[in-house]
Parts: sequence; structure tokens; C-alpha cells
Amino acid sequence: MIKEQDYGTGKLKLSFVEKYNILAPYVSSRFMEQVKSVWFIITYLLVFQLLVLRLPIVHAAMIAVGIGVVILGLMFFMEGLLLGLMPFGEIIGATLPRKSKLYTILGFAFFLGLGATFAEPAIQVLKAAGSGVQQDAAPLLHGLLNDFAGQLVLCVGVGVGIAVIFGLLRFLYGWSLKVLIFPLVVVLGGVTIVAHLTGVLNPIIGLAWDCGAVTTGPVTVPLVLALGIGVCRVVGSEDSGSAGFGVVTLASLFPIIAVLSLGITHYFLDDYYGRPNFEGEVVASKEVSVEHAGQHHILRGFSKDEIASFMETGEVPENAVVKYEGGTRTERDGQIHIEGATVVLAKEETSSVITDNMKHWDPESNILVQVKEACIAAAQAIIPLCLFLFLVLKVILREKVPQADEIFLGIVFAVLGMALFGLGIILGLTPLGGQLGANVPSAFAVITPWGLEGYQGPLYGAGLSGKLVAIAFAFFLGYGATLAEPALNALGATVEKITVGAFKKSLLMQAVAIGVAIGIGTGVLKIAYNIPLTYLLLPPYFALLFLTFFSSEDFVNIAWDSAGVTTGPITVPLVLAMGLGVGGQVPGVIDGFGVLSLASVGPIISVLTVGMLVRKSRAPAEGTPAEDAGAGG
Amino acid sequence: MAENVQVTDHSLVTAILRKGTASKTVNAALSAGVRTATITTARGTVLRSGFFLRPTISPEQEIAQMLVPNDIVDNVLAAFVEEGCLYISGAGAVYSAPVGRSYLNPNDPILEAKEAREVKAEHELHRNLVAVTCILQQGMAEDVARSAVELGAPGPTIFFGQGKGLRQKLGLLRIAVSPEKELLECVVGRFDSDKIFEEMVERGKLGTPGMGFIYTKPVDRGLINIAGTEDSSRQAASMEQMIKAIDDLKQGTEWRSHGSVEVPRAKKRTYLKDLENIICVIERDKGEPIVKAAMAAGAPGATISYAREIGGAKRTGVSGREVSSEKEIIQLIVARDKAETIIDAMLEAGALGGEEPGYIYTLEVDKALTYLGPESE
Repeated sequence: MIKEQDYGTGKLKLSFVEKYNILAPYVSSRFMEQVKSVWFIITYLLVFQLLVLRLPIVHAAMIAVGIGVVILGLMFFMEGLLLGLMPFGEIIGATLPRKSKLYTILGFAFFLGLGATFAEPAIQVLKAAGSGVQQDAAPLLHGLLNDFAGQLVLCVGVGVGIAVIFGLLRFLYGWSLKVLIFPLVVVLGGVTIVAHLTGVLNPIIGLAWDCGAVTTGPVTVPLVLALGIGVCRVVGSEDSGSAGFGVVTLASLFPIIAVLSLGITHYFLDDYYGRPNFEGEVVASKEVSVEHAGQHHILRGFSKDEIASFMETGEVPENAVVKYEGGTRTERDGQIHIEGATVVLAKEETSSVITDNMKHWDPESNILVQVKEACIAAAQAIIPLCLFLFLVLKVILREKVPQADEIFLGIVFAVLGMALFGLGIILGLTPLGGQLGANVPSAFAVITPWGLEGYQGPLYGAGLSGKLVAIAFAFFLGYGATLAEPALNALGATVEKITVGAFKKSLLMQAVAIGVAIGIGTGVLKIAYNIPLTYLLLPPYFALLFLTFFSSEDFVNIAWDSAGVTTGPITVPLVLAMGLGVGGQVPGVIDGFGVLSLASVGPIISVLTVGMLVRKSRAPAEGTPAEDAGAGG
Repeated sequence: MAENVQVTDHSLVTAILRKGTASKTVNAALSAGVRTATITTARGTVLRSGFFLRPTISPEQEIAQMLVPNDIVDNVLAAFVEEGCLYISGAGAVYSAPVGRSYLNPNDPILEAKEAREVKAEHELHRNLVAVTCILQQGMAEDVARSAVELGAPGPTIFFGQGKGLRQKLGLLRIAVSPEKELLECVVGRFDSDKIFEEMVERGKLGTPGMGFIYTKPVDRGLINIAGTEDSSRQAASMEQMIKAIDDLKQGTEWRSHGSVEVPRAKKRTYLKDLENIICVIERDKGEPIVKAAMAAGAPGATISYAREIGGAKRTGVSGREVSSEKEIIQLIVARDKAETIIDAMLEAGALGGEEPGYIYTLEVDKALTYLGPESE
């Protein structure tokens, strides 16, 4: 391959210094790009923990190393996407419609969707979100997460497969995305309302909608985007210059229907815990399996030393509050007399956090095992998918891979980047996000801070004000995490490329990040006040039907696709940790579902709103009679 | 020598259209006698006033280019102006440039006479126009384009291309050098062109190494109605329209001159003269050997952009769906005395062959500027 690209004079021989001069700016620019994308979320988390919650960072050294590894990983992964995976997807997309039959394309689409789901299994994430679900309280939800987990993944996979089929059919026949969105959203709304009204099905609504949000991961999204762009380059109707989007949208909506259908099927078959046809495992009901963060071992009294010293010397410890229990109260001459009461000396309810045993590195983490697991996960997510694409290109399309060396290097970068990225998340982001998620409730409740001893809170009042702090925290967490998401970066770069720079990547990312921030803020509100998800999810989707109807086709495509890409490997662990942490302090909350699906609605609304603003400002120039009806698509 | 037909009586008609209007407008041109046209997606440039937080999205545009025999150029231009409504302020632009020589495949349908529908021209075209074109590193075009608008030029059109040259000789190390370029084209009055050219050179630092290339080429006649500013006011006529109206009354842009106020020349520049622009249009992904041949014959580098074709031979793909044909547009700027050798090498490498006929044409370059090495400064 290399030989073919040499022009006339042949390959240049470069000295080491010359090579360094070429590589150094390349590496440093890519590195700084990732520093720019993660600095906000990292700084924000640190500042919040240190200044707002006034707690030290536990495992600080490990987190610092982890964040460095995340940045390196993102650098390699993004470069791998742009160099290898996306061009590869685009080549296949542009060749398929020329060289194969319709049924081959549809079969390819189905298996691509199915395979991508198995490659990036989101089931672990969902299990984490549902870790507190009780078999007897929500039998069907518990069943789907445990006994029927295999069926759940298969259902989501089939949903994504069908979505890719429809996505490609849409390109081939030039259907508008709106035509697909309207019926889908109406069906979804209907099924959700039915499920909402049925006691057993109600708890699975959150799971189903979150499935839609998490299925489209950082490998699938760029690949599917590139594929769509390749197809549209060749077949799109004449004005479809900016088409290629929309598959991600469908891949977020179809799995919701698939999961809800699976739930309904089990409901009608009477196949879940407590029903005659249930053959799964019966789990003994545990008293409290949710880690109600902080309610264990809260040391609220005086320490043993303080008690001993009081017994000996009668010296009242600091922060003591005197209370009188029992006795008879009488009023004499304007005075209150208490007779026969017990005098209780209690410790004042202020924060008392002991940081003596704080570790800078988690003693339970085994770095070798974590490296191995990250490598395996990365290889599983990328290599089988690439092999599948390679075989399709070689065997079915009989086309050779142009710039094969570049693409191969890109795929190696992507695997390496994904492995580093995964490792960095385990070392850095999860413990950081985990401790913040667990500590944020100290704004409105008494908890033991994560990884520390003692207790703290409520710092900002037990009522509305404390919860508002938690919601505000969620808002900025969503904003920062979204900006660091690799799939959104890839979408932004694609949009910028397709619109020849007219729609800037930064504008899209800001719009999406604000949308996610609002969504996640709403999600924490839902958990903090235990509001049913349906009430928060259906009105925005209903509003979206109107917004979508009045928006132009290209904005509809970009906006709905943004929804699918936002919930990725950075956002999900942070948001879940927080959702579970807050949920643990609110009675009646059994799971952390729903936040992610709310985080998906937000960006659709915000991006469509941006579209409306842009169009409004450009309205006077667009009145010329040459405007094609139904342009775009 | 590969079989080819050489003609000298063609013009290149370029139309810059708002996205979504291109296929309809180009179809009008096809019925007015054009055989095929290539369409490249592009973006325009606007400066805007108004609330600073309002998001800015540049207008998306499409560039349609077609080789047209000289005898029907007027008819084609009229088709664009009248049926594409390009006489409306902000609607777009169309202009024709003289082509030096065109090399065509003998089977190329361009050579067949085609029945043309007569279009009545109701709007007068402008003459004394010059096209200023820059090839810049990715991300640089916006700033350069704005500098032109600030001097009163219509909003330049920007599209993407890929540079071919040194990068191909680096082996796998080439991934460290981005091939992505931004190309910028702006048609301005001859009177303004020097001032705008200098301002673009200044803003884009085109006299320093590795920044890019700028050149001007003659434009025969055309109508330029591209907006350069966008304001939020709801006045009956925008500033843009008023200036346009005065331009029309005064028949040119000379009236805009403030007399003594001239942009002072920063330094004496050495312009490149005697250059020729060679453009080869070929099936997408078939350009590699042709660029290779051209560079072996002495071309310093090439810029490639991609386009789709309208009006070419129809091809069907999957289940009867029409598959549009994608084109690769290879642009070279070479010394005039070397042009013939390079074109011969490209023809030899099969520039006109393939499943679909390709073609080569040349355009005149007035003057050009780039960094020429330390000795020339």
C-alpha cells in the first residue's frame, strides 16, 4: 500500500530530528485538545468537593493518575476514530449501495446493529442503576435485570438492528426523519402511559428509556454516523448534502419499544416473580440491599475518650448540648420548673469528619487486573466489529481498503485509546464521581462521607435549599461531563465537516451540554422528590413533536442524533453515582433509572431551539422563490 | 498520447447558490444547454450585528461549476439569473470565466450539441470582475474571509479540499500532517481587487511559510448578489441592498473609494506571474495516479475537492435507486511553460478515461502570492 502512494520522487528519508519536528506539534495539539475537553469537569468536581462540601479528596493520588490516563486514552481514541474507524465506515457506506442488493444491505445493517450492541454491553451500567431493586417490590424490573438479562440484551440488540435497517432504508428512499419520529414517539408515549398505569410494569419504564439512552456507545455512534454519510454520498436525493444522520436517533428509540414489549410479554405470560409461569431464581428478600450511603456506622455520640474523661473529671466535652427528657413541667411566677427530669448531654449535630485514616490510593484496587480488564473490554468493543466490516468489504463487496495502513493504524489507536480510557475511568473518574455522588446528599441530609469516617450534614438545610444545591451540582456535572464525551466530539466534528464548517462543532457541543445539564438537573429533581418518570418524560417529548414539526430537516437530524450520543462512558458513571447517592437519602426511591433518559431529551430541545434562533435571524434572506419544497433529507 | 479532443471555445460558468436551491436552479441551466455540472458543498461568510449571544451559523451554499461552449454562455447565465432569481439581494452569484484549453474525451457528451431552451435576459450582468482565490490551512479561512467582507466584498465562499504534495512522501508519518485545506473564493470588482488581495495576504499571513497560496483569475461577466453582512434590524432595505443599489446606479464600485484613503502597502511583495491553473475533473477515488503523474512531471502539489455530478449518465444501484456519481476535482497551479508537459502526463495517466469521461481545462492566473523561501523576502 505504501508503495502506491509514493509520487515520482519516492519516499523521503527523514532524520530523527525532522521526524520529531513533525510529530511533536501533532502529539501536543491532540493532547491539549483533550485537556481542553476534560478540564472543566475535573476542576468542577474537585472544587465542589473541596470548597462546597468541604471534604478532602480520598484516593487523590490514584485519581490524579487516572485522570492523566483518561486524557491519554481520549487522545488515542479520538485520533483512532478520525483516522481509522470513521473512514472505514464511510468507505463501506459509499460502496454498499453501488455493489450489493437491497437485501444484502438490510442484512448487513441488522447484524451491524446487533453486533454493536453485544460489543458495547450496557447491561452492567443498568445493573448498577438497579442494584437496589427488590424482587418482591418490583418483580418484573428485578426479573429483567437478573433472570432475563440475556433476553434484555438480545431485545435491545434486535431493536438497534431494526433501527439501522430503517436508518439505511431512509437514506436509500429519501424519507424524512420526521416521518419516522412522529409515529415512533406517539407509539412510545402510548406504551409508556399503558405501562405507567399497570402496577407491575410501571417500574420498568425507567429501565426501558435508559436502555435507549445507553445503547449507543462511543464506538457504535461514530461508526454508524460514518456509514450513513458514506451511503448518503452516493444515493441521497439531490439536496441531501447534509444527510447521513438519523440512525443514532432510531437506535435510541427502537430499543425503548423493544424493552417495553419484552416487559409486556412477560406480563401477559405471567412469567415473573410471584407468578405461576416464573421459572427463574427466587432471591431471598433482603432487609436493605441499597447501600444507603452513610446510614451505617454514623458516629453521632461522644467518643470513648470524651466519655471516659467526663466520668473521671466531670468536664463537659466540647460541642455538648444539654437536653431534658421526661419530668413534669410547671409554671411558677413566669418561670418554668422541670421536676424529676433526666439531664442528657448529647453531642451537637455538627459535622465531624475524621480524615486520619484517609488513603491516597485505594488499597483494594489491583492495577494489573484492572489493566487486563480494560484491555479485554476495549478489544471486545472494537476488534470483532472491525473484522465484521473488513469481511463485508472483502467478501461481499470485493473492494480493497484504500489507505489500508492508515486505517489499520487508526484501529490500533482506537483499541489502545479505549483501553487506556477505560482504565483511567476506573482509576480516576469512578472514584472521584463516586465520592462526590455519595457526598452530595450531605447538602440536605446527614451522611458519612465516602471513604472517610465520621459524619457530615445537612450543610445547606434539610429541605428545599439543600436539595437545590444537589440539583445545581447535577446541572454543572452534566454540562462538564458532556463536553468530554468522545462520541459527541465525533458527532460535532462530523457535523462541522458535512456543513463545510457552517455549523461549528463548538456551537453544537455547547447547545448539547446545556441540554444535558438541564436534563440531569431534572433527573436529580425526580429522585430527590421521587416524582414518577412518566410525568417528567412525556411532556418534553410532546413538546418535541411540535418543535420537530416546525424545525428544518437538517436540524431535526442533528438534534435527535445528539440525544443518542450524550450518554457515554464519562457521563454515565458520574450520573449514576450521583443518582444512587441522592436516591439513598430519599425514602421510596428504589433505583437510579430515569436520569439518563432525561439527559437525552434535554439536548434535542436545546439544539432545536438553537436551530429556531438561527432561522429566525436569517428569515429575511430566505424569501426567494427558488426555495425547493421539501429540500434536505 | 491518450486519445483526446482539444477545444478552445469554452467558458467555465460558476454559480454560488444557497443550499436547497441548487438542484432546481442547475436543472434550469441544464435545460438551457448545459450538459453536466459538478456541485460542491460550501459555506458563505457573514458578519453580523445584533445580540452577541445569538448563535452564528454561516449560510450553507453549493457551488455549481460547468464547462459551457461560448455561444450559449449568455443563455446559461440568463437561466441562472432569471430562474434562480439571483437578481434578488443575497440570493447567490453566477459568473463566467474564459477557459484557455479544454481536453475532452471523444465520447464526452459535452461535445454533442444539445437542444437549448432560450432564456430571456432581463437583468444586466456586471463586467470588470476578478476572482480572488486562497488555499489555506484548515481553520484559517474564516478570518481571511471576514477581512474581505470588512472591505466591502461580497461574502466569500469557503469549501474544503485536501492538499497533495509533501505529505505523500512521508510514509505512515503522514498522519501527523493534516491534508485538510480550506479554499476560499470571492468575486470582486476589479477596482477593489488589489486592496482586498493585500488585506487577505496580511490577515492570512500568506507571505510566511506554510500558510497558503493566493491568486486572482479573470472573470468575464457575472452577477454577484451574495450577502456579506447579516443584521437583525427589520428595515425596509438592508445596508447591503442600499450599497448594491448605488453600485448599480454608478455602474461599479469606484464611488465607494474615500479618495485619499488607501490601504498602505506593508512591504514590497514579489508576485508570481506566468502561472496557469489546470483543473481535472474525474471520477472520485480515481485521481491518485493522475496527481502522481502530474507531480512526477513537475507540478509542485495539488488540491483535491469532491463534488457530485448533475446531468451526467444516470447509474442505477440498489433496487433501481439512482446512484449519483461522485467527482474529484484536482486543481494544480503550475508555471505556464510547464503546463503542456504536465497536462500530457495527466492525459497519459488516464485523466479522461474511466467508466465516466473525465476532462481537463485550464484557466488563466493573473497574479499569485505565496512564501517563496528566505531569499525572496
